[in-house]
Amino acid sequence: MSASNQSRTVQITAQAAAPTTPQPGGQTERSNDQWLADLSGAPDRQDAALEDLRRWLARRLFFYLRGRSDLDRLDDSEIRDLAEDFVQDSLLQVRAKLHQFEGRSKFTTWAGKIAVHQALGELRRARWRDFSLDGLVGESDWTPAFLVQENDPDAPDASAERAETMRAVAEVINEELTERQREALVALTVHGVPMDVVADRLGTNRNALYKLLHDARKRLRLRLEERGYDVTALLDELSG
Amino acid sequence: MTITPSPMIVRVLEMLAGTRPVELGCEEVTALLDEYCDAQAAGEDMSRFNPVIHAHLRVCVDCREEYEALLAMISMNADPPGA
Repeated sequence: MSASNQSRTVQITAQAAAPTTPQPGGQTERSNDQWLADLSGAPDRQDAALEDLRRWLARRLFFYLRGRSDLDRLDDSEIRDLAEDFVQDSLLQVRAKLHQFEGRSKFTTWAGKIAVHQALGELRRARWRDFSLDGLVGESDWTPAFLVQENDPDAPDASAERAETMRAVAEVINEELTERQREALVALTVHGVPMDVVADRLGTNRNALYKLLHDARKRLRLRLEERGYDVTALLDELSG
Repeated sequence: MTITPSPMIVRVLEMLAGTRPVELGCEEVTALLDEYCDAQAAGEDMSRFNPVIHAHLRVCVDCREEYEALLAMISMNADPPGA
C-alpha cells in the first residue's frame, strides 16, 4: 500500500467547532454516554467529537504502525499519512455501527478495534497481494520427509520411534484432510500467510476459514488419538 | 541418525494441542475483543477472564495480531514520546 494513497477520497470533515459542552483535556474525558450523545447530536457536536476521536485514533495508530518491522521502509510522514487514511475509513464505520456499541468496553477501545481491524486487514492484503495458492500443496507435500527439518547421520540412533510418529502425522494429514484444508494449513503453517489472505484466495472469509480449520484440527487430533498418540505429549516430545 | 521435526509440524501440533471441541470463531472473538483488551489493560488474568478467547488467540494469528495492536493502542500514554 502506498503511504500517500491519494485515491482515498473519503474525508470526514471535522471542523473545529466547539462542542456544546467543552471537554477538558479532549475526548478522553468523555464517558461512553457522552460519546454516543455527541456523535448522535447536533452537527457541531458531531464534528467536534469526530475530530477528537480522529485525533485519538490517528495518534495511537501512528505509533503502533511505526513500531512494525514490515513498515520500517516508511518515514514518519508516510506512516502518519497511512494512519490518517486508515482512520478516515474507520470513522465512517464507527458512525455506521454506532448503534451496535453496547457499552461493554470504553468507547475509544471499541472504536480502536474497528480501526485496527481496518488497518491490519488492508496491510495484510497489500503485503500478500501477489500470493497464490496454486501449486502450494504440490510443492509442500505432507510427507514424513517434509516434516523433518534435518537428519544427522552421525547422531545417536534414537529416532525410530520419532520417525514412526512423523509417518503417522503425515498419514493422517494426507488421508483425513480435504485438499482445501491442506492448502489452508500449508499456507498458514509453512508460508506464514495471514488468515485474511488465505480466506480471500479460497473465496471465503476469515471466520469461515477458522471453522474449516477447526474441523480439520478436531479430525486430525481424533485420528491421532485413535492411533494411540496424545498430541500434547507428542508436542512435548518433538519440541523438547 | 536423529530426526528433528520441522517448525511447521511443531506449529501444527501446537494447533492440535490447543484444539477444543467447541471454539469461538473470529467474528465472535472480534465482537468481544474490546472488552477483553480493556480487562487486560485493567490487569485481569486473561486466561481466567475468558479462557475461550484466550484459546482462540493462541491459534488464530490474525485475531492475535489485532488483539496485540489494540492492546498496545489503549495502553499508550495520551501523549507518546515524539507525538
